[in-house]
Amino acid sequence: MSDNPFVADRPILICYDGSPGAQHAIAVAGALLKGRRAVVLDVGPLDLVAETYAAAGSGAADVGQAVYAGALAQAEAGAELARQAGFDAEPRAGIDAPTWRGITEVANDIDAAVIVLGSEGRTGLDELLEGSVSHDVAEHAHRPVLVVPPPPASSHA
Amino acid sequence: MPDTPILICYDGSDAADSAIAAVATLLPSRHAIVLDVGPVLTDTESIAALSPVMPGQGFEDENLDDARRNAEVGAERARQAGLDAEARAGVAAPTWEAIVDTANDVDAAVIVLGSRGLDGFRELLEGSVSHAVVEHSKRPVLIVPPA
Repeated sequence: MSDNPFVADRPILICYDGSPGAQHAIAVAGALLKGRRAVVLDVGPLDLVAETYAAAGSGAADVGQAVYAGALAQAEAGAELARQAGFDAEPRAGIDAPTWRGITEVANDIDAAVIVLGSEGRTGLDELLEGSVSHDVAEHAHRPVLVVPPPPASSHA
Repeated sequence: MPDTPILICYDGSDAADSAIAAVATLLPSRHAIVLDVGPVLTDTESIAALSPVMPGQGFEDENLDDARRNAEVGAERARQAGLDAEARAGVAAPTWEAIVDTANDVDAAVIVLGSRGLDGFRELLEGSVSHAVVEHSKRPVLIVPPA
């Protein structure tokens, strides 16, 4: 721990999974925190890599590369949104399970001033199995977490 | 959005002080409302309130006074940290309800809460205030752990 845990020039970590909630989180974070450096992270699923290995006994490296490339493309799309929202943004990808661990590790790595997350990072079965990513990150990250709810009007489910 | 205030929930804990420090750095020079929500009745009071000697309303008034004093301490800390802060107090059970109501009342841009972890007795009774606020408010919530 540094002397001042809230030094102004530390980057913001924005978690981005391509969902409407994640897009909205970037817009809201931009209104509050724009002008800062942001790392936009997508964490790809480790279970897909593990399942491939379990099923085929090999090929996990290829799938791992594909999952990583997919996550990086997603993160780049998120970084572009973040630039439009006023951040100096760069993309970053990870592969991990559970997702909160991948997020927490990158947050520690870049010493993030705050972690930004949509409150609906996971839906349906994933949420039931994994629990809420935002709650897990808030519990494990030991740094400020900005949880952004979905936009009010567009929830038409 | 830039002119809507920040609602800082202040209960005097280390995490609450940490929350003020986080706001001062991340969201500097904004208008902040520092809120303390006291209990309607503390656990001891809810037993004592059954006694005819002191009516329950007396406890509620006392708890509101405590909350006012505490909110003023928090507002003063926020001012020292460079925020344009005013104090506000309430009593409610559950706590999250008063936080969400106040956020709506002032149209808060973001609600800031210290996370107290899972060690308090009141946390056991009420569940996590931060989780409840995230679930029930339709606003961004900044959760800040103790430094």
